[in-house]
Amino acid sequence: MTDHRARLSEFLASLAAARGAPLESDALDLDSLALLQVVMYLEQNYGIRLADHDVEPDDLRSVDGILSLIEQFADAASPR
Amino acid sequence: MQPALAKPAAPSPVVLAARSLLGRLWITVFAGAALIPAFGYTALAFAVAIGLASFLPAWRRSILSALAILVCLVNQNLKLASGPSILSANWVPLGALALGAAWILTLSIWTRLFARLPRWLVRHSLLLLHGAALALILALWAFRQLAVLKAFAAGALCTLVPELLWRSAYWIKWRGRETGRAPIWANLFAILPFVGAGGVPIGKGPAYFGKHEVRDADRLALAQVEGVKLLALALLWQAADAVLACVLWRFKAEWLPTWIVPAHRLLPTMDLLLRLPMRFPLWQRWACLYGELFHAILVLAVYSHTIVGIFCLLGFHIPRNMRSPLLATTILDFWGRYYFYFKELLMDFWFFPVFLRTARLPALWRTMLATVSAAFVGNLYYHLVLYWPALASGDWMTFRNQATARVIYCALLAAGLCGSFARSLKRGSSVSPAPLPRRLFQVLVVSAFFALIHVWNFIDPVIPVARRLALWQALLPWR
Repeated sequence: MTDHRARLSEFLASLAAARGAPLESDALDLDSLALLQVVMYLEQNYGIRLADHDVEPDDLRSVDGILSLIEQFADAASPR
Repeated sequence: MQPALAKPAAPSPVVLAARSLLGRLWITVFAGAALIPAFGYTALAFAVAIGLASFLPAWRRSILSALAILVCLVNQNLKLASGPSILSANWVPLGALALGAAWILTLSIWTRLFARLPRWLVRHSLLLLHGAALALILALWAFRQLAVLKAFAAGALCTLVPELLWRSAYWIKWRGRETGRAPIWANLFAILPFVGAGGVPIGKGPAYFGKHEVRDADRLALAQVEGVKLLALALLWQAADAVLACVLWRFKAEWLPTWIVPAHRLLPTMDLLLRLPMRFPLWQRWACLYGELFHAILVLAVYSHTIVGIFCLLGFHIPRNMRSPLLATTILDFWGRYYFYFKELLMDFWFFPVFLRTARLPALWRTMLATVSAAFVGNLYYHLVLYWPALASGDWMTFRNQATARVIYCALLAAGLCGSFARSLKRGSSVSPAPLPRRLFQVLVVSAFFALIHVWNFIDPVIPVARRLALWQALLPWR
């Protein structure tokens, strides 16, 4: 789980750098584009294919929310 | 800059002051006074609720639900500043109240059965909701010749359905994922349109409110400071809008001094410009578009800061609805800053589901499809629901004018957002802040885009599409 968190932090830091604005950890202020990038991050790095009844955009707006999705849906939660 | 966990900062002196007994009393009195322009004497009920919720946080939700019922019962013609009215003057109050109560009860019972219903039925509950609403409107249209039904349709039902539709949709989404018991009373405030949200649920639904509910005294004080800021901003923007309307169009608010009124109207109103575009010089045509956009932004700022401010004061620290849209440097950025909760509505019910369902497509195609589904299809559907009264009462001409203008507006918006998305995806993470002159140019281009498409967003059902098109042609310098 620590590994997922570290990788996610790294990815969110790159998102924040692209936006030129910091991201708070408990409530990620993600715009539409950033949300899509988070979805694609989950798809590409963990093979997670989310269905719309599995997830709400708001689930992706916190570090814990994203980690919980990784834990729930990733194939044995193994990073690719 | 790491988005890693950060320790909460020590409370600032302002938060400490807001936490004190005197601070809470001051906030209550300020809120009551600041809400008078929007709510009249009902502001007193809001102030009492805010005061009670400050001192009895455990009872917050009950206080808020009681307030919501009281305001819905008392204010039958509630209007927030110059924002949209939640109840039209000609509605049938008792019929609408009864219908509203029946609607909410049915929704509550239906969603309580989710645990026992087959999974596919639960998953399609949103479709059922929209199907039921559509069936209702078609039935009203089919029987529009019946006088009683017509009065009821025009007055009560058509006002109520757009108000409750999206709140119910959020309720269904919430109950579809919530496994535990959730008493209807504690969440009633999330479905009643008591603050006048005009169809868009500001604060979304119970799940979102639950996520943003403050849990301790420090966070309550922080939320209340934000609430005070927002109410003060709402008053400020209301004054600014009054001055703007006076200086540009000679619409004088009662409280403004006479010396501020110019001898002549500086610009035509949009209404006048749409009717007689060639009567005014080119600079006035363009300036009018910008003036109307500023006016629309100020009106929405007053309206949404008031509503978000109320929820913050009551202990729900939800994000602002509007965040300086005129500073946006891309169309996408403007769209996110202008009307956050409408953007979220389209995101939650259109954009995100489409994006998830098209995982096999390349990123650009997925994004385009999702954008068109939200900005065009979803946006159009949302507004067609608002235009139901005209359709139900058989006023086909009004409905046609409104719907055609909206189709064009949504198509233009979708095209603009698709272009903006494509540029952003192409830039990826290699973006670096543009120098100031370039940023100013970008701001100007973005605001010009929204000022131009506002011609199709301008609410006047009598104006046909041809006139709006003629205004666009009149904006060309060689005309």
